[in-house]
Amino acid sequence: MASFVLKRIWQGLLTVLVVAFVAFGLFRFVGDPVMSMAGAEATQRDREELREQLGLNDSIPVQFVRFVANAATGDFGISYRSGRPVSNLLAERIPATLELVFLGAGMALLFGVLLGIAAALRPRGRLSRFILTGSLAGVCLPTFVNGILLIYLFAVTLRWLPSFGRGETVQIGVWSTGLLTSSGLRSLIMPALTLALFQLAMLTRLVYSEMTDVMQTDFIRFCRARGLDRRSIFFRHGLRSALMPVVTVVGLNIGSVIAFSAITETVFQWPGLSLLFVDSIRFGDIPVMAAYLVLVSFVFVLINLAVDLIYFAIDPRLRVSRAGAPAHG
Amino acid sequence: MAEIATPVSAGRLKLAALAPRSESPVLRSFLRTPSAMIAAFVLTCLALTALLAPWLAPFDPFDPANVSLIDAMTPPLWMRDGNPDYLLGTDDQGRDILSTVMFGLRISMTVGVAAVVVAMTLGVVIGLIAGYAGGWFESLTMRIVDIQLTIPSILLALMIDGVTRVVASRELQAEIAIYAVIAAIGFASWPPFARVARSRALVERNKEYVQAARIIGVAPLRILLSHILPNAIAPVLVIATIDLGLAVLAEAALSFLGVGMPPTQPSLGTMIRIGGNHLFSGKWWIFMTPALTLVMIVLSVNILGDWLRDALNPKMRRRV
Amino acid sequence: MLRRASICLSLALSAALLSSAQAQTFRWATPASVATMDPHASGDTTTRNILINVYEGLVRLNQKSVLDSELAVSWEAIEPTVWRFKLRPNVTFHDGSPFTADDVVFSFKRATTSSSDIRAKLRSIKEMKKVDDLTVDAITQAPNPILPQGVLIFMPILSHVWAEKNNAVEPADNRRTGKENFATRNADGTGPFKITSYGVDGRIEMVPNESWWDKKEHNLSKVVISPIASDATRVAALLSGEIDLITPIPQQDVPRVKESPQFYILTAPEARVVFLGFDQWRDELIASNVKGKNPFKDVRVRQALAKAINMDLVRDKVLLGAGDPLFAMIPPQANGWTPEFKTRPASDINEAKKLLADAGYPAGFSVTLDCPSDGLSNMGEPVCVALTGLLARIGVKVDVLLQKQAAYAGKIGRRETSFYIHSWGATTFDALATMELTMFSYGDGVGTWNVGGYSNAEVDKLILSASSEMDAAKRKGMLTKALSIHRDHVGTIPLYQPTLTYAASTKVKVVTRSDDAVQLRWVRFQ
Repeated sequence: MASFVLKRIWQGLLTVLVVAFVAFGLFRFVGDPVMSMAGAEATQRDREELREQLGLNDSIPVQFVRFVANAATGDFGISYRSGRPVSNLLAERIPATLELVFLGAGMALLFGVLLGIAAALRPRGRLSRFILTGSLAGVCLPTFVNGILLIYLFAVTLRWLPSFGRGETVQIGVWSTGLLTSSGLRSLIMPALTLALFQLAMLTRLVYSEMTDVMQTDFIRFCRARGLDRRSIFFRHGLRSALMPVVTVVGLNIGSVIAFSAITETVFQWPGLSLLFVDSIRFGDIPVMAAYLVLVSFVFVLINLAVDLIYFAIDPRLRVSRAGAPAHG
Repeated sequence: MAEIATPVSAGRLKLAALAPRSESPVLRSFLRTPSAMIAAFVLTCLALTALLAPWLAPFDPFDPANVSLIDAMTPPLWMRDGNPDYLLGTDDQGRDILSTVMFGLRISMTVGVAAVVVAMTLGVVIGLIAGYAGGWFESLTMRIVDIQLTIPSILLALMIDGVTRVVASRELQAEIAIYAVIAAIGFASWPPFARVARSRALVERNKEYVQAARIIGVAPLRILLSHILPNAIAPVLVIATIDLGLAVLAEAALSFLGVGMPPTQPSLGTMIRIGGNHLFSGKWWIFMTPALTLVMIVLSVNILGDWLRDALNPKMRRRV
Repeated sequence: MLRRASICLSLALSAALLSSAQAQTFRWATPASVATMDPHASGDTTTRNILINVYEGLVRLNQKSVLDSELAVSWEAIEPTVWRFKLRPNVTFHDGSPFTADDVVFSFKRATTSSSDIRAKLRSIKEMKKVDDLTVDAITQAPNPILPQGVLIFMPILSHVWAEKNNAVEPADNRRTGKENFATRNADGTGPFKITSYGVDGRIEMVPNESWWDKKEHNLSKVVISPIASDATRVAALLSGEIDLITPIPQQDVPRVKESPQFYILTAPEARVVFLGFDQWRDELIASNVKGKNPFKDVRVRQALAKAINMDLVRDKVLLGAGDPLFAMIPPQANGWTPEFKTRPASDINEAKKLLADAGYPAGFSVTLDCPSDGLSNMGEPVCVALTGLLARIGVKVDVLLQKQAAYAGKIGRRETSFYIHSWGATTFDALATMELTMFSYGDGVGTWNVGGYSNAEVDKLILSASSEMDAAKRKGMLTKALSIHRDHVGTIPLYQPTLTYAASTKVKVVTRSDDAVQLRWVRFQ
């Protein structure tokens, strides 16, 4: 077990490194910061000097090694646009994103699993059809349309909820939270819902699909033949087996919710990491982009590790086979 | 129960259920499911429209010489100021919406289907082998999956675009755009398939009937195809149907970043994005027509996917 | 004694203001956030236009964009290369330190260090010299007739006492090794507003500077500036009453805002020209099907393209009225303009086709147009697509290559383009800067942004003489003449002057100006 975890951590670090390297290779396609930084009146020499100062004249591998060496000491460099340390910028933005992502993912998980189970209880029932049709709509609607529709309904027409930003926040140590003020909470509702909607619909469909599958298996039929109570079969045996793929998808999706909350954060001007990233693309702010990608890949690696560990917890057969017999080809 | 007691017979049962000859149950199930029939009909219509767009569409919206800017933002025929030339109105450039949607459908369906096929084939093959065989192949591919899931697909697509830019000469870029987009989306979305296929393979390979099949000397390829693949089909189809819609939207996102289809050859996604700007200014038709078309595609594919899942599932089929 | 009385008075005043404070909070949303509080550390337009309310310069523009005195009360060129500025007495910074010639000299030094991003703008000044406490001399590299308006307007002045005390004598070295300093997140200017908070999300809060030297024209008690990047969200924030002013509003949402009696639209012609440029220097275009020669080297091809573009149609249908067609590289607001620059070549498809045929391209040719998807006030894409339609009529097949602004700017700056759409702002309200950078033969320092490589000896000569001509009328004649030659040669195809469009609540009165800078000192609640 311990060696497995260690191996996974080592592989995770490798992942982060590879991501950082690929990200570095990509930057020249994203934009050239020198033009906007130097200003229109700059001479070629000014631009060249700036390029030299920024280290952009070095080859990609050299830039990469320098970046990794600094990153290892927690130094992600200085933002080209604001002149502030990137680690400060990221640290300031993390609370906003985490609060949004966890609320969004929590909503998606809770309602997705509940609705999926409700639909699977009576697969041909009216409620089931209603839920599945609704989930289709959730999967079809693009996020930016969801967000804008919510804004026009609840902010412009009804004027119940704020349309942008985080509202008032309270600073607790290094963490700024919007959860303790009413304006902060009100600001959180629509972005979290927008972020959750797609995942919620997808989870509903997945849970439904897995549950109906599991309920057809011989194992369940055997349980039924033994005369076990239907409810207990459904929840104790059925749900348990159906959860494994769900865990995979949920694990993967928390990561992608963070990585792809860009649209939600843009629509609601939510001052989180993704908004910082989107802004930095616009200005060609390479240090911010690099640090963001490394941070997100790090989070992914952690989540994947957690998913693997949960596999062991949920599926005992896996534990036996993996811990005992060596893999066979 | 008997199956559990005698795994060999269980294996045989499953083999029989999947024999390629027995197509009639699927057909029978299809004819009994009106929603699937409607979905198939809609999808066939859309596919035909896409295929025959050059002959069906009243205008060729991709030929800029054909577009008349004077007629920009004409509302649909039945509204005030409607123009009988443009049944569903025109967009902000004066392109006939009906024709543009037909041509856009062509691009979006090609991109969506091709990208999903690429992703699914790649993901399922790798995932099944990884889950079944394990070992270095599993840890290598799953590490690639981890790594790839970490890179936002948009950035990955940007990289693929960068490569095509170097490979292709400049005047060819409009022609190769569609292949670049398919490759970008396809290669960016195989990991979920691989993940799910692997997790299925992991579970199934420890089941008694698979172990039994192995003991009696069934070839690994045959075990994969006839025992493990069918069990992976349900979740793969769920992902594939959702992925088709995602692929179409991803194409729009790429176009937005300027690496997808050129704006002079709009796909449905591009049209939705442009229409979104006009959504709240009363010019709803620029947005609604392509959006409804997109929803129709995704909806039909999902309904068909649901039905197919039930119909292909050997355990379900026995009851049919 | 007097001082204490004035403190008491201002306290009483601010107490009186506080009672009606809530109603006087002005909430303003902009698309981008301020990059830094340090006015020398960034040349970014948004940053400059917001910090202009906090940091002042020697001179400023009035409501009609005419030069006006700010921290200097008067100035004159005592020699061709020496300008003498008399400074305003009794001015204090927000922290209470007095404003003197030392601050001007210090700010010039600070703004021209290697970590300053505005140093290129001040390049024409060799040195700033203190004459006495309230007099400074600016010594220029060469005679510069428009030094105050063309150069010094871009030099914000901050307190040397404050900077030294807080260890911020140079802009934070925003390069590889530096760290942020006190001035990155704090401000100390002489302007009408003081920063009270600068949030993580880019939100800025300001209060009026009660000891400001000028007569107060606004009636605000607090200002909140929030960045909202998404167009639709910005409009929604206005409509929901959370914001009083949005700059800009997308053109398609204008009718919707006009419908409501609670809001109104503000417009101003922007001091900027959108134009098409083409590669006229390579022997073969890098993105075209024409091989072995460069069609854009032939003036007839350029004329044909100009004739094929019906800008009135583009204005009505694509810009939705928010732009004025013209045919010169400067807008009417800039010195050097003459009314005939308004006249575009008559759009005539047949004549354009004939010109193309004469040039040897009877069947037209194809070329790729570089286009910023999020540039030109988000109008880049629709304008480019409309142009493909108009040019297709004469057989020129245009492929639009949409890119994000950062990638596009890099590509244009490296001249890796055959055909591009670009815009140029006449931020000094004078033609010279535009001409030096975009029309002078390509080179270093001048002609840097002459991406297409147009080159004409007479134009170059006129620009050079205008740059040191101290006689205003003669100088203007030279500028106009050079612009006319460039125009006759179709060195670029100027398209239109954009219209700035803002939307505000009817509760507030805002003054719009052609340089896109909203000055809080003129904002009034009614």
